[in-house]
Amino acid sequence: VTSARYPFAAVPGRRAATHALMLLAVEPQLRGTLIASAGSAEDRILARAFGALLYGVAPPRFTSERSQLREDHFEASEVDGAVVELPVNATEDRLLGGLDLERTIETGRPQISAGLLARANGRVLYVDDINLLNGISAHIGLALDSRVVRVEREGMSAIHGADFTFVGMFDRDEGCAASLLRDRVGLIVDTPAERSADDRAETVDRAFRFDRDPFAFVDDFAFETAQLLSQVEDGRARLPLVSVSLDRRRQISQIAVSLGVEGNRADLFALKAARANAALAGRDSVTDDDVVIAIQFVLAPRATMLPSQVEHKQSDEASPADRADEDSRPDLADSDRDLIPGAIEDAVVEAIDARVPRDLLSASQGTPRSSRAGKRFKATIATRGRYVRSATDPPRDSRVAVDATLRAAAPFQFWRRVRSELNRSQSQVTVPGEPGSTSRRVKIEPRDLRFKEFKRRSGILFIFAVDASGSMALNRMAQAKGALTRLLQQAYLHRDKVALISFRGERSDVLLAPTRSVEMAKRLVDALPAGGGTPLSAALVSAIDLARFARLRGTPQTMLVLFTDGRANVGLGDRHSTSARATIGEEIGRLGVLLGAAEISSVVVDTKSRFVSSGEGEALARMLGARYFYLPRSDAASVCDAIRSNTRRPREN
Amino acid sequence: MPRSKSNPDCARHSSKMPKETKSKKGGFVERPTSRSSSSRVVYPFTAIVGQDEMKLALVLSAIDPNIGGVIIMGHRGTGKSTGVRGLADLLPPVRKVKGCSYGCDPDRLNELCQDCVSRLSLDDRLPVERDSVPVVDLPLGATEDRVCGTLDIERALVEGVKAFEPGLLARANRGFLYIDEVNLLDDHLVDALLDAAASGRNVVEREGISITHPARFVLVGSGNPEEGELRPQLLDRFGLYTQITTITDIEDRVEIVQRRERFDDDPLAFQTGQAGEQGRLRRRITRARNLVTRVEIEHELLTLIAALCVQLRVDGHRGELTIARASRALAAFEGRETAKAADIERVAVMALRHRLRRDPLETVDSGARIQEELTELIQMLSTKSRLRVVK
Repeated sequence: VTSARYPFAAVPGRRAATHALMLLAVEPQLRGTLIASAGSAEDRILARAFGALLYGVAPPRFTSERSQLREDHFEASEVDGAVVELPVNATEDRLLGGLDLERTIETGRPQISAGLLARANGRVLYVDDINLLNGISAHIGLALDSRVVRVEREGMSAIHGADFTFVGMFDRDEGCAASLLRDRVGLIVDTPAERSADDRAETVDRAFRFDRDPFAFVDDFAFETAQLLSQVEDGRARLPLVSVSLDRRRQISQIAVSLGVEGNRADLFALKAARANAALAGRDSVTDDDVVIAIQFVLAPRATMLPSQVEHKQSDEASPADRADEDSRPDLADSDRDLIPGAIEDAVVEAIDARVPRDLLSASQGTPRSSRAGKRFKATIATRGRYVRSATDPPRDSRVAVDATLRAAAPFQFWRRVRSELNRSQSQVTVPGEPGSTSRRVKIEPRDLRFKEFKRRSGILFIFAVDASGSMALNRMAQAKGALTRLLQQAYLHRDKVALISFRGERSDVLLAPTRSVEMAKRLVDALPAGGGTPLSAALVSAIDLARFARLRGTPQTMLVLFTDGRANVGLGDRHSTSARATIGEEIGRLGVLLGAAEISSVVVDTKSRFVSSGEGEALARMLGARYFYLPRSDAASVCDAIRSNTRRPREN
Repeated sequence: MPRSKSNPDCARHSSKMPKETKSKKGGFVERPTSRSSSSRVVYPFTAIVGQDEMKLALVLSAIDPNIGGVIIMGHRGTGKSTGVRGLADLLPPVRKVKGCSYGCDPDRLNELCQDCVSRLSLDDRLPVERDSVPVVDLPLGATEDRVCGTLDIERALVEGVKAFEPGLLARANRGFLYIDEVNLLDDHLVDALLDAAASGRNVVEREGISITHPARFVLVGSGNPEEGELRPQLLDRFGLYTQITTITDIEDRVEIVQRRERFDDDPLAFQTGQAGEQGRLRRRITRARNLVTRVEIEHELLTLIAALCVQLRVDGHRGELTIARASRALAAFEGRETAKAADIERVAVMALRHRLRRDPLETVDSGARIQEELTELIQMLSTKSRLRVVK
């Protein structure tokens, strides 16, 4: 009533996203959706509009424990009707809740404050950029699963209802972070927002009109809004009546298996999505169209392989790891294929093709991101990490540890009350009416204050850039793999992160974004193919990019380990491909400077055999300001030790 | 968010609150007792399709807590936490000292907490009650003070009393401590857990509180190895390691979805439908718990276990002990009083999978390696015993 909300019907373009959200409105059991971002202002409009849509269908109904929360706990900025927005710099404290200092002091009894997850109960929880959620996405995932949030913090123990619908935006260029979250929401809109120039213009125009006169704008779309609302309401009413035949169920599971979808939760989501789509379209049973939608939003984004890949693998000489994988997966025999009609198969392939991320190289050349991200970094670093314990001396920029402060103050309360009563009776004879209320207050003095000590997950990010060019195939690729796996194991022991870049032919590929999972890295290393040119520059650019993102996420130290035979012959971009070797050399020199500026220490591991070496590896190391190791001479173990000892020392120049 | 009848689950949870809700803290704080985790209708254990290794591991650790807990690692959405949460319902009630915060066992006087000891010195009998086995959730975002316990703020503020407020470790005493996404647990919490798990006691020295109390619990963890790995010290604390993968059989998958839908539609009816199965399993576990201490394991089989561990170069003796205990529990579960080589065969992989030395270049699944060695040894054993019979 107080403010107009941007109507869902007025969101231009973004058909995939709006479709997914409609499904979610019809079937809340889909739990949530992740949407490829289209710029945060637009995303926010979409999410708010979705909240307004749900609000229009039926006002949020709170579970009993939620309704006991006093309304003054909702900060207006966070709660807009049905949508609770989770700021990306939210700490665990804010997310899960804890001790409420103000009210505890007020009442003299420990009082709990609900975290954002509990506040989102019965509403929509919206996150602007899940890639930037630092380690807290696991909590959201767990709450989605259990519909409650368990608070065991700061002396408080509680279970709060946290039954919310999740809407999160993610940046496709940064890959799919928060895999736990991906698994627990039903719908994933992986395709980028396809918007024509008209759409863009329309977006701006509508936003402008809404700002000028929100109520008139809402009125303009009153008819469309009413139509959408009745569509959702009809869909909901129809949903329990939609039948799914056993064959359809088999078909869905069959497709999930053929796409290598992990876990059995996706089947259920796919079924719910298909059913919701049928209900939305006014059908009483699930048809091919509905299954296609389920594939698009549920199964394809979770695919780990293409159906056609299976045949390809069988004919190909597969690596042992691949073969082991295959054993656990049933082959997609021709008879099974019949279950998937042509249209659906096309949809599968199409959906997956759209998922292939944009070339990392071109993404890295866009500059606006770095300025935006840099600001975020500075604003949040002081209080990031986890509240580990409290200290009497405040670390810089620290926050008060409420629980510890109260505990420190507690033993003195009796005497402080007595003392203040005495003071008051001396200065004033009586204070009528209020002694009871003030004396119950907790009295805290400066020496009681305790501060939170945060612990950031530190550790080093190791970026392994592996030259997979044709010349490497000759030059001891196997040995490089051996050293690599050993390094990976060490990274595992030290709780470091690893990333894997391979470069060959024209480009470099980030095979593995920074992760702690050595298992995955090992599997990828085993399957590393070789052949083609040596685009060393591209690999360096990727590495610098990765290091920058890693720093944003709290891994400040990066170490680049370059496995190469040192003969770069492919430069950046087409313009350089025809130019002489010297130009590529210059390019690498410039990148070396960039490496230094980004404070990335680097190591070149030369894999070339001695007989043909003409010092190219050493020259490269000089250009990059890197340390140089010669692999064939030293065994894998000693290279590892040397690299490791190198990382702990400050970088020398 | 509108809640139509499509989500009875949520409504039920909220309606459960009142009894404990009116507790001392702030109106809506629930002070979970041991039963509270099952106050929501949980998906019945016996209705889980497939995943036999996980189910067996959980049942065995319910029969003999000394096995040392279970860790379940594998793909997302494969029923890991469903299995663990379903376990609570299968555990037979135990005898406890009435009013004890740690649920001390009145029959084990040497393991009593300080409170119970002083109560016993005043009165030579402790009051006893029958209560359920606690299955306590350790949430990822827990702080150390809530895990280990610390000064009770409320009593300190209101009464000026310095009292100890027991934490999750106290609550989990004689029960299960479950950590979902265990590989994401913060290192400082892992340290606290390791200390308690190793000694069976929790030592608290903080904020003017100095107390030691029993904290014997079965550690159960689950996670996805691709999210991050576990510290080796923590991994070693788990008795059994079960790997869980996505079920790829189409009919099974369809069945999983159908069951889940039926459960979501009407959890109570679904539970009732499974009551018979659940009851049977519960009785079987109870019987096995009574039988397990009497199960014999032949010397020859112990030698076999030792040989296996030597062959696989497993450090320490925890591997051997776990295999022996797990095979006894398995024998008891099947109602036998002697363990067989077949029992060992079924538990060895689970008991050793996480104890093999990690070879970084290894691509063969360690489970397969264990199985291979074991089959060889058993063949040797059977030929030997046949020779003896011939002699």
